[in-house]
Amino acid sequence: MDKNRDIFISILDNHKRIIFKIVNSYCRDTEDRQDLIQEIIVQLWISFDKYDDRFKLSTWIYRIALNTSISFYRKNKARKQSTVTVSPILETTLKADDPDTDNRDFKKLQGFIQQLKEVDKALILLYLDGLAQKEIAEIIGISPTNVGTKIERIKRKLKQKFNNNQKEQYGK
Amino acid sequence: MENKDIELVNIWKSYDQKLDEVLSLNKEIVYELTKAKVSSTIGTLRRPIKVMVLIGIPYTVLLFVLSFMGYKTGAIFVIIGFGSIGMIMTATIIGYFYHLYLIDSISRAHEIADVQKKVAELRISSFNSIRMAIVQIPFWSICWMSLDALEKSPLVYGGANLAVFLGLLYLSYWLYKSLDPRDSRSRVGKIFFSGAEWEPIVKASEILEQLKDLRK
Repeated sequence: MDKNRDIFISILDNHKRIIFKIVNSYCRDTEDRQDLIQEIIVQLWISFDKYDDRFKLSTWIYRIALNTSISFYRKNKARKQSTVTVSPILETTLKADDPDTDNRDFKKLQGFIQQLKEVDKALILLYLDGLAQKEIAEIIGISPTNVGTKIERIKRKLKQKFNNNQKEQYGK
Repeated sequence: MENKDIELVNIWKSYDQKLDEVLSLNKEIVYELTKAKVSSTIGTLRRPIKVMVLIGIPYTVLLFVLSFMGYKTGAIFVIIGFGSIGMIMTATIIGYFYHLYLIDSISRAHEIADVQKKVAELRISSFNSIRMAIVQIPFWSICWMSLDALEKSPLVYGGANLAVFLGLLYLSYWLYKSLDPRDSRSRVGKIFFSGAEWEPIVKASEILEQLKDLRK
């Protein structure tokens, strides 16, 4: 039992980036993010016994985290009444006003992703994290062809948003 | 891959690489949040139980009033029938007050072992309340009997009422024996162990079962 616990916490620690990126794409405010992190970790723990080691750990985490996030996003209004406040579970030391250019571009990209529909968010997150179409299809539960078509559409949308944003910044 | 695609992926990757350095997971909180989930899950039980108490108290008073009226008019079966149901309902309502006390204790508990013990007590007590409710079934056939009619027609009237009483007694016995809180998925279990009164207890018990491994 000790080993089980230690393994679970170690897995969470090694894959905390996945949870952080997903949560930031689905929630805008800090309270919602912490609530969603809670939900994801509880769901991961409850499913831990049933983890099939034929699949990669990251695939398992993506699947549960994204399904939880999509449900959370859809139920968010009703859910607010039963929020349990706990201390931050995942924290970052990176400041919001970091002058690093890459960070600014990332924040823009994340902002555009936040505007997407819940399933589109999941698709683009998995694509940007470098997962193959077949793997994305398994996680989302649609065909690989469908994955390809949808991702192309989402990428066009994101590129358009970036272009529009650059025009606004640097003048027409 | 187009240049713009590569750009999007590179923006994502550059930040991704930084995340490992700047993210920290609060490992102790992983345990605490699961415990908090149990309290908030159980807390949703308060409302349906309070509703049951608000309905149950005037209903029980009515039962005793009917028994008293039966006593005044000499209607022995009314006294036995409504009186017995009234006593069963009184015990059930006392049980509901006990459930409310347990729910408050769970939210105040600090140690997971304490939470587990109280959730288990709540589960058993809720189960006993359901069983108690079943015991009253046969008495409903007695309330409406008339002593006069029985004296005039002991075989037909008496026989018919006895048959109904015995049928309801058997039903009550069968349900009492069939209900097992460990098997909420049986046919009978699905009818009784569902809804606002039972689902939070089942969910909290599941979370605690998993938490037992996490905390050891």
